[in-house]
Amino acid sequence: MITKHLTKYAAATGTALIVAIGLYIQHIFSDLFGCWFVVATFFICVLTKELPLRQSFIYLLMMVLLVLSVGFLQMNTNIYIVTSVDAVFFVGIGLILLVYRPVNINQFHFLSAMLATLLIANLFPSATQKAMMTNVMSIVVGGMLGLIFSKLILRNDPYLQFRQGLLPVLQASSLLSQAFVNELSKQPNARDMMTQKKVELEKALIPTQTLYPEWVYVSGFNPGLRSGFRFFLVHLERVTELLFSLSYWLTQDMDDHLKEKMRSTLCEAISKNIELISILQQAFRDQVPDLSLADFVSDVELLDAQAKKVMPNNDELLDIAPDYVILVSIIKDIKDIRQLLLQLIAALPDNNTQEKSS
Amino acid sequence: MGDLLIWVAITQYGMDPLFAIKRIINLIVVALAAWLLSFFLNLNTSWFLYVAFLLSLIPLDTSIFKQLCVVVLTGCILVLSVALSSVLVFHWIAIIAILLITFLCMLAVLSLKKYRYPIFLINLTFVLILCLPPVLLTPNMLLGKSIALGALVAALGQLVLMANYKKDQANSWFKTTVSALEELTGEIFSCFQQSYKDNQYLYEHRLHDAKIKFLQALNQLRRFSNADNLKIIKLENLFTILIDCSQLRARITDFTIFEVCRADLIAIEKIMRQLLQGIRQHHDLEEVRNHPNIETTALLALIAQFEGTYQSVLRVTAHEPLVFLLFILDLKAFSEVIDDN
Repeated sequence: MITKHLTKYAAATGTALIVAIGLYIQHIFSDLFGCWFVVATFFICVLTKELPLRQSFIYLLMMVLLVLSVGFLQMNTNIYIVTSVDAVFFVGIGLILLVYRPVNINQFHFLSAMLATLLIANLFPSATQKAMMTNVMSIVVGGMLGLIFSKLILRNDPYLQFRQGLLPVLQASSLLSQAFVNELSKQPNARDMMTQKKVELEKALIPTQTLYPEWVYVSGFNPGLRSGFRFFLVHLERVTELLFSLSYWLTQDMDDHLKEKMRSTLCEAISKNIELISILQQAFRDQVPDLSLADFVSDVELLDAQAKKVMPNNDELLDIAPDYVILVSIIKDIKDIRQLLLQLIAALPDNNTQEKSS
Repeated sequence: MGDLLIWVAITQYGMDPLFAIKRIINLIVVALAAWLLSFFLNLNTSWFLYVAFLLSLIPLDTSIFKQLCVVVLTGCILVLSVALSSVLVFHWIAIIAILLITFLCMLAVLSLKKYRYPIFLINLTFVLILCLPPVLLTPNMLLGKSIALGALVAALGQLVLMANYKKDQANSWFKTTVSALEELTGEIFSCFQQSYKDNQYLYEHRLHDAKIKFLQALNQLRRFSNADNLKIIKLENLFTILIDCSQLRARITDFTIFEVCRADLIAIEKIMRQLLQGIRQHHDLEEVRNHPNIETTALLALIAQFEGTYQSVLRVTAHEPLVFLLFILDLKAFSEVIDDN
């Protein structure tokens, strides 16, 4: 599925390239600027799409420094030395990738792009100081062109990108919660299904595999939006943590009699949590959720009342039987999820605010 | 320098030594072969090095056959791009071609996320070739030959990794996963102090990074081992329990309570990390159980000590004594999972 923000990003890259190639081919800049002009536009558009402006400038600066270094080498040494430096740089980058195994795709891109810059610098040799300065100017202007298109003219709406990035996590959370209900209801293959859904949620959180908005944590991200987005992300991540925790405790051996007594109230509370997740999903899909008749309190009260019936009243007696502590853990997780989801729904911007911000 | 990096890789980042050595040999073989061939053969040196080096960094696939296929296929597409450049002589056709290829590459990345790097390389090379002035592009035969040879060097370099490829990868990712779990333990326990309250997002960011690092490594481990592998299930359980332990940070309102049990928590964290380190070094959860230097009894003793602190102090002074009880349950579960056959 091509999401809206990816279409916009493709449009930004495409337009920047058309302008860059157009200017280059029409000889407006080609006398002054070399081939780096188009390549730098492409590099900046593609590699910095998830980075804030400040880090994009760092990219550009690193490219300039590398091209300057290669230029000096090309002017003052011979081809053997330049080739040897390339080989050493390649082994160095390879070792860093081997040791660190970058989790963040941007780190991998940064390292491989630096090697690519060094190698491309050999394709556009700087035989003279003038040629070297031409290359540097090409990178700066080409990179700026890329930045103007990708970050200013056709920049993505961070709110839209954020919502689209979180929808798979909400979807996976909802499916895992449903698997909990099936597990408690003793449906066939429920355990396998639960394991499968848990793996799906884990995958939904990996930024290299999805559009998970990890960029919210990157330093330099829009200070105006930062606190709100981070609040949402931290709370949603806690919901996923609690779901992982529930997936473990629900598979632990517990007295069947105790489980039977709590089954319906636990299922009811988890189902209400699924409803809350679907409200978040609706809000993120630009639909207007109906909250007027919703009751998200009575089921938790019922859960507490039922727990009091089956468990010892005094906390001090809880550790007598591990089953009780497991049950307390399950109930605590469900209640915490409820609280977090309600906080997230309360933090959703209303339509008017969204219109103003966009 | 190389020795230092290997030492860092093995000790700090949980890298499998055999795999690390093979990968380093792979890098050196490619670098040396490319360096020597660029002088002895009649090639376009810049293009030859560009293709050989960048293709060698393609992230490793699940089997050596797949890995070679990806390298060779990418090399073939790059050679094809040279052939295309000789056809696309008109500038306006070149512009349309670049846009079309860029758009196709973006589409391809959406469905083939794990091949994002080779796709990026193809896209970049197309842009480079179609934008190069004719004086740098000719003769096309030489350029095509250089690119093809570069791809061949990168592909042959991968053969160094061929012996026990899948096993090496599985071992290496197992160690990386356990190492990530160690890091996660450290990050979780670092949240149990007053400064968490004052710098919440900083701690959450670190915790997020540690979690993602683990999940990513686990995902890689699943690619190289069976998903129902006992080791993977145990690692998943350890992760889930640790994540449940981390809930203490959010369930406590008065962080000064951690001052009461600070020494206990530090000792527990230390022994948990030692246990994980033992798992990483001995590569087997069952070996750890009987290993003289790695005893879960030490952890159990510390848990009992913490339980004592809970009974005598925390139960009375903490605003939320129940959450400490749940935390103790998690610690016991952690020990049980390591001990479990």
